[in-house]
Amino acid sequence: MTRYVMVADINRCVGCQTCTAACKHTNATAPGVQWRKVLDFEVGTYPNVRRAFIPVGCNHCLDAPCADVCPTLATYKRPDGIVSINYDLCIGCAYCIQACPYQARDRVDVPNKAYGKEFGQMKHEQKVPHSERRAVAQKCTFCSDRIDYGTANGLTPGIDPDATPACANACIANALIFGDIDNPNSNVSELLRTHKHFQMHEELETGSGFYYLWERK
Amino acid sequence: MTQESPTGKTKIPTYCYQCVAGPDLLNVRVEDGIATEIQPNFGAADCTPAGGKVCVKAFGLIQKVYNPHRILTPMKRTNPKKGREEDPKFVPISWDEALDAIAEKVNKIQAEGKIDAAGYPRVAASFGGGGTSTYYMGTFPAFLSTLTPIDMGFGSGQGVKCYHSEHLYGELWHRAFIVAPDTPKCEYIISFGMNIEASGGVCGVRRHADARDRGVKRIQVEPHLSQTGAASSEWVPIKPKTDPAFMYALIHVLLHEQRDRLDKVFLRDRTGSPYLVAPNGYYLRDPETKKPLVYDLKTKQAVPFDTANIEPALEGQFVLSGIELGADDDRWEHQDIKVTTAFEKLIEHMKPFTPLWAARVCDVDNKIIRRIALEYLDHAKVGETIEVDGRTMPLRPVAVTLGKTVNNGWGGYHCCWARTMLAVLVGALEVPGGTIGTTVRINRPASDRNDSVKLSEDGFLAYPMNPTDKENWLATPDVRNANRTLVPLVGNSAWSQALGPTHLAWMQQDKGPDHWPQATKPDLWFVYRTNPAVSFWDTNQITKTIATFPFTVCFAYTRDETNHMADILLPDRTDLEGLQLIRIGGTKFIEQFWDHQGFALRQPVTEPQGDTRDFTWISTELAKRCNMLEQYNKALNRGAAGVALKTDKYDFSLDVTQEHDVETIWDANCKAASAEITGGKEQQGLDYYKEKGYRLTDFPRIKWYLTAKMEDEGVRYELPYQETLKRVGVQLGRRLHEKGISWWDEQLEEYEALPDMMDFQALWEGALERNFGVDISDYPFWLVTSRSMQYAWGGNVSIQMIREVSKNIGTHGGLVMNTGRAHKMGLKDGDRVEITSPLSATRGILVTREGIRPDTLMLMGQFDHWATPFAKDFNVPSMNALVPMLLDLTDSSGSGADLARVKIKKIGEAK
Amino acid sequence: MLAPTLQKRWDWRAAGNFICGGTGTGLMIIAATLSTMGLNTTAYALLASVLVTAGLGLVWLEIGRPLRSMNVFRNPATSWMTREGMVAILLIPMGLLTFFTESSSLLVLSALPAAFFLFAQARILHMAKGIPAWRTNAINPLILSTGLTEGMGVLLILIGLTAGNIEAFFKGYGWIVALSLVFLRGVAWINYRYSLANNAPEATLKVLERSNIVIVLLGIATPIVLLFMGKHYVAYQLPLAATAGLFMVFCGWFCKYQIIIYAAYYQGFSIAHTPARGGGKSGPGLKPGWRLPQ
Repeated sequence: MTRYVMVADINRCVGCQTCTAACKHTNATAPGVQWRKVLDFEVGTYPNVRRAFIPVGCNHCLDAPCADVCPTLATYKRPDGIVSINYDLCIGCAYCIQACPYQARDRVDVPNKAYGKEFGQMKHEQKVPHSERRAVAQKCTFCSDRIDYGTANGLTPGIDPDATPACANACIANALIFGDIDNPNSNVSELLRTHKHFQMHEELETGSGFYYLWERK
Repeated sequence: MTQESPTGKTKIPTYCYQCVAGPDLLNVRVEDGIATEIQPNFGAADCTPAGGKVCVKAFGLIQKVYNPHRILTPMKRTNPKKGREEDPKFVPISWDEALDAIAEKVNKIQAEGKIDAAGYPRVAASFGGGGTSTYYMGTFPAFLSTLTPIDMGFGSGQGVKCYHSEHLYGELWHRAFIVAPDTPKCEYIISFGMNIEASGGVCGVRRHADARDRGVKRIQVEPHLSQTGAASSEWVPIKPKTDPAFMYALIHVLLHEQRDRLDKVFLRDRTGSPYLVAPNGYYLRDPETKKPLVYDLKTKQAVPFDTANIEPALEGQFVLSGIELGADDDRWEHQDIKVTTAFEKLIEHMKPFTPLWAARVCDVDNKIIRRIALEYLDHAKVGETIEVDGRTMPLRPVAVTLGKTVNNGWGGYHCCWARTMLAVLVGALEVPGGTIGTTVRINRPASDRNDSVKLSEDGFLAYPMNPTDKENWLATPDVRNANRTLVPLVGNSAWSQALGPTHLAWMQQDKGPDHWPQATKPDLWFVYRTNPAVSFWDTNQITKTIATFPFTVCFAYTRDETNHMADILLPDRTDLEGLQLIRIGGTKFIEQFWDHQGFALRQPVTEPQGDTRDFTWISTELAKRCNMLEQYNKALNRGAAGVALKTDKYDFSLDVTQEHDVETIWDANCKAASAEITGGKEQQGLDYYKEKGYRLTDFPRIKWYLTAKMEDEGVRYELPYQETLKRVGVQLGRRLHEKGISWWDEQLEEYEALPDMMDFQALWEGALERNFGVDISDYPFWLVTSRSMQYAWGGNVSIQMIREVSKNIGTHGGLVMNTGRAHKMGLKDGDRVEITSPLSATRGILVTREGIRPDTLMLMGQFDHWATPFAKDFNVPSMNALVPMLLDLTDSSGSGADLARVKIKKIGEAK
Repeated sequence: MLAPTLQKRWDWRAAGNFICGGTGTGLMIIAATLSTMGLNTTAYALLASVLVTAGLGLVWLEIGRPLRSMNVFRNPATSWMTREGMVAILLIPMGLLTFFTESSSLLVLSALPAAFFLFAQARILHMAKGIPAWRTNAINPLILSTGLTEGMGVLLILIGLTAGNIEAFFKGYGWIVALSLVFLRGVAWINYRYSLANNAPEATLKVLERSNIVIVLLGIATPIVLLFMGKHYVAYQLPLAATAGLFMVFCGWFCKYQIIIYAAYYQGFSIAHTPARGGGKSGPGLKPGWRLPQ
């Protein structure tokens, strides 16, 4: 079996938002919509303060609450663990947005205009309008088109750039690592073996596919 | 099954050099001629230190091309009145009209004389971003070279917002315009405010992430918890501007508690530690050779430092004879006088600076200071070695890094000296794992630090000080910031003018000091990729000054606060639209030390927008219209565009009498570049570079460290004792006093052989009280700044995506204040506040955070725009309007620090 | 940004569906119940159907792709929204038929899909795992009890329109049913709030705290008093019952509006640990916007 997951080594992450920007480029997301972003956490009180940068996005849960509630089957779980959206089926009811405990989903009803209505769409915004995503649910896809391309062409997702999500490719700290958790020899399996890790909101039992490494074992 | 890769069919290689931590190679995905996506260049993953990746700033480049706010045609000002409140009434004009207007001005200047009555160049030029603008201005340097002399001293923060003291002292001591840890091997870093995670670029971030993964311990000492503090093992919240005390205490612990564990071999053989210091503070010298003397423990006598087979004493006092050479012609002959080794002087000098003393100054527990000193020493592994490129070298995996503000203004000298001493004491200077330099800009040649190693008569690294002797001192400044007259250390390289004191150029526009020529206005001012009207200090005054300049030509991307005063706006093609070849690799700024070196091409990836023109086309046109074509072509042939087009190995020189198009010029440069790195064997031209993007060859790692060269040439680091500086200071003082100038006296005091500790906080407070007649207790907070990785150097405030993603970093929104302190003052997150310094006031939103000292406030980045489209709606204040330019706060290197005293007042509730 | 933020995706139109759907189905069920106690209530079936239809109509106005709305029926296996839609197809015509045939049996039959619809609405909120104020088990009894109470409320407001109903209501067990509903809803509300204590974002708890006084006083105490008065003061039964009904309806709508629009803060973000940076030590985690467990 195959299950693709994302691993974030939060010892490495510096919150630079390169992944955020790379995702915005690759997926041509709307102004304000970030399928991947890095949060800035501050823990404790002065002078005993810690600051941590936490990449977030769709957790591609095993028991995806979004897929359970979706009335149209637009959101579905792929055999490789990726939670996908069939934009053509989605009615934009936004129920999945409410069901996601990771605030990973958005719905955008208007074409991308980064500088606002007054200035219209820039050329690159016109070029990749993604009108299929208008007024329906959207979220991180783990760049599944790359995964599909990679597996069809003998590439290893998470290793070969053409088969790896844009955020992991772009991460300048190598803090985001993508791979197959069901393969005991994969990059992510190795990291999870050698590091202590947690998942966000574990108590909600979503079976999140997003792991945070916080200390070496 | 094969199908087209979803990462795109057409990817065009180019580079990003928006910040000094570049360059980084990248690919641009292009769909039907439209650039849609920035991607890493994984083809270069193995030959670039950051794996072919680019940082967030590069991702702003697509919007940069298509930004609707761009200026897309040349413009001229029709409102002759200049000022912030004046509408410039720019109207579009043709390139012919714009270039002719500039050429007319240039020709007039050429005819009337290039120097004005005050002795200053009539043409001035300001470029931003630590020299990065050069990587976007095509052949403009070749055009400028035909106009010299040019005043490059109107800075936009250079000298006060760069690593200024590090630049000067770093180059003096170890050819290190930029100092960095050898991060790939380092195990313990004490970082005083060095925000490497925000300013180290892709290379820095990647290397430090790898180091953390390896278990490096980095201690971040700074008043607020920056991104770097966040990513460090420990944060030590220190009072602003007290870093010298902390560092002195570290040295104290090493010298007075752990002296036996220091690297005595390194101190003895590679530094001036054993040199004997005579009563007047200069070295005791051999009367015949004039060489400094050391005491040989083998023969029990004083011998010249370079005598073979000796064992110089590191410590101790001796009764000896010899001569002492002071400033100018001062000379003392001594018979049987007491002399002390420089190292012994150091021990004595550092005695008072105990951790307990420093604890009170820095507001940091003395136990922490002592622990850090001991951890540093433990990690230094004195005695261990490592093999690099077949040579056995010391391994000293410890380093101390300095951030801006720490590095600037008063205290900068102390910090740089103490930092370098911390390396020297454990033998960690310029060795694997230790503190190394990554580039030279004042010494020559700039292309390779190793080649700049030259032996001085006294056995140290020779340094190109500006002369201070009677005959050669430049008594009348040749540029408005008087760099060569006032700052011997700044040297006389192409970079020296920009190193400042750049604020002096602005300050004197208002009123010059006594016995000094009143600064004139440049008749023609070129501005590119810089915006001093928001990015320097006392921005209100600078804006007024800029408005008085008679003819300003701005290469303009969008309207901004500086080009609001321009007479001509020229829209050049942006990063992804222009053509240029640059040198990459080797050892460059920040942590860009590579295992490769070579060249990379920047090329148009999409149709240029509007009627913008390639910078090289503009330069050639200007040269032609100014009747300088031949000189311009000659400059190109000499290598003004980056590569000499003719050497004894190859010849791709251009016909100097002809006008050449952009592609022809860069094709010649590409061929010459290929020939240069292959010893003339290959000559790939523009087509090759367009397809591949870059051409590299190996750069031996041993060149990262000066050690091999220093050992081979028998050169010493001039540390700990600063005899040269002391002499230079005295001479400079005499020269200035001979002219009746006493306003630089405080700066002269800084030329000390062993820097004396001062109360730097009191120095700031006193200067503000004196100059503004305020009671400093009315301004209870220290205001500091911090770098934004998303914006720094990028000139990208008008890029929506950058704004959007930067908001994810909590400290971008406004004035950062300690949460507890805010609550005590009845303030809460989101409140609108007015921030007032003795100079002026600004307004912004309060951002409460735990990670900042209660006595400190922080304003990130440089905003406060009022003309730049998009950015003018941010409503985010900047400290720049609040910081005065004061001579009192200018140190001997011509630098000041980003530091202010402020008070705050609530003016509105949080929404 | 880290602390839970308020959901903005479902606005008054979505709240309108829970209000109309809950009240409509509650009305259907209560009408059926009371018809077995001798009240003539088949006419209410029309209003019930209209309310349910109106609620669904509001949702239709809110969805991004209304022309594809038929896709809503594609996931009966796990989606309560599909199930809600499906049962509506049965419920609405049955209600209309009941009205036109005036068949009490059909009314009782219609109560079954109505109950299912009401349950589906409760489960829709319950399954919204991203919103602590909705996902608690206690949302189910609350939505069910308030729907029924609202239904009872509407019935009481209009009870005067059909002769004999008011008398039958107070003579029989009708008023006991009404009292019980109000009481049960009170219990469900308290249970709901109790279930969220330390188990929801602070912002959610603040909103519920603010709503509590309104719900307890106007939604529980007032209708109970009015119903008892109605039982006692026969002459004023009609206005007292109608007023009690008004409060019962108002309180339900208020309660649902508060929960759907104002208390619906997302889960927010949290970390279990701060990382060990390099050679440093790891540290505690953080759940911004949540009270620490007692």
